[in-house]
Amino acid sequence: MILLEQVGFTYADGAVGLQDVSFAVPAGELVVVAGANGSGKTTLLKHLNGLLLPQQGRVAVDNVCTRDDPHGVRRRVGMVFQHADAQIVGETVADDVAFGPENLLLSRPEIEARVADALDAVGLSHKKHQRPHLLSGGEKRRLTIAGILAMRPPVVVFDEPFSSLDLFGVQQVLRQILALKKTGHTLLVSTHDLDKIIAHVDRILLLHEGRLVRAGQPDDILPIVEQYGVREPDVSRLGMTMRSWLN
Amino acid sequence: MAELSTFGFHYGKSFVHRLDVRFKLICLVLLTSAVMVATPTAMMPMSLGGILLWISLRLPLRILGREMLAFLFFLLLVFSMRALSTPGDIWLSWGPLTIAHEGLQAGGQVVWRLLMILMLGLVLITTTRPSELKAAVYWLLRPIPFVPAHKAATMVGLMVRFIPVLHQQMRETRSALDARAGLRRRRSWRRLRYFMLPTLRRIVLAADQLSLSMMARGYGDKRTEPAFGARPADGLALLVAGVVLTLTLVV
Repeated sequence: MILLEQVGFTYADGAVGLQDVSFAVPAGELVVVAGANGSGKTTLLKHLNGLLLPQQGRVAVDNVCTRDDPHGVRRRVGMVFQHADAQIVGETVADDVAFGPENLLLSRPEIEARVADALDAVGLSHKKHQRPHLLSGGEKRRLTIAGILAMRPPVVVFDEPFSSLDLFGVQQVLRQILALKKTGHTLLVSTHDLDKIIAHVDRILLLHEGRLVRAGQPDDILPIVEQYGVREPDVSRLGMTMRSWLN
Repeated sequence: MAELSTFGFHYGKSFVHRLDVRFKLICLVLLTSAVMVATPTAMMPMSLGGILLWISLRLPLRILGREMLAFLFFLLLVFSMRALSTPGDIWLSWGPLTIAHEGLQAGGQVVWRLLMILMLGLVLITTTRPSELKAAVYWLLRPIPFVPAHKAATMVGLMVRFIPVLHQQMRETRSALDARAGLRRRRSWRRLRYFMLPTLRRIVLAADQLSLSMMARGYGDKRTEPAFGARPADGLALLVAGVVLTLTLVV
């Protein structure tokens, strides 16, 4: 369970990141955080992983407060960054996946087992010795997901996971997200491009200028998203049935 | 999908790849010392040995060429300084500048030694993961009193990790400038403004992003370190390096 209570955060230059944001996400939900550029989506996700600490209010994951135990929270919440290149730290694909488990102080055999499982899950086992920077955009994104999977966190947050990906890349990442949902993970996905994931979403949180302006079921939120700089999916606009990008 | 930098670890199964990193580091120290004291006659078989060592890694020779090329300006500078400052029989004179035969010889020898040391360093970097290097440096420094072994090892590991990031950022800035004919400007202050400053900014931002993503995955002082395991082959490598140093000292 993720809980935010009246969270506020202002950057050093005075820009407001978040203002009085409160919500709860029960375990196993797939929630989309939608909003225009600069609406506070990334700031919000960084709070969930303890990379940013709230200046007002509190953030807790499974009753562990980010302020009290940021390392404990990072074990529970894995974060997939918007730019995959920035997240890759290993010299080979397998090294990169092993980075997180090594930080968890796991034994070497356990690390190797987790790396093999994670690479298998994202279909990159055959590239385990390759240099990560030689992977395609979709493969890099899958590698960053594998790096998180190997840490086995119950919550995974994705920051703009579909940006700069072609159709096949989007489908590969979407498949990973849905596989995580199937295995009971709690998922938060930030995007301003709802089309690609809307068919699978349980709830939408709509952010605008650092404030949570609406939260609810897709059917309730989609008609108003364009007021806040987010394009309403065509299927919703035309009153059609939601269709997955995997079909 | 582009190869951004050839500098860094390349997976392989060669003899050097499989060596224990601690032995690799000690061998590097011994061989570098040998290069420093070797006579030009001794340098010839050592250079041949160095090239054979590189070939045994089964890595493309272009990696060696590209990385050496990066040091071309520095090597030319060292050569010029030596050539101009060593007295002897004058080979060329131009105003206040004179170059002696001895200067050319001295400059050539220094550059040769530096190239050999660069090659040995590249052999280490391309066959060793930064995490292994960090652990080996820590292992070697730990018994020395008053040396902050952990900090020194972390710095070495991060430095090796960040060099490809620097290369990448420089290449990206250069490409962005080339796309708008930016580097055709000859005035050095303009080059400084349009190349150096954006590159520095990009490097700082990339380092910030990288450290953030490392933090997000729980990076800290305590990690599962790579396991060491010395084998007879490691002892053999150490013996060979020791013999090379001894021979260069004796000959």
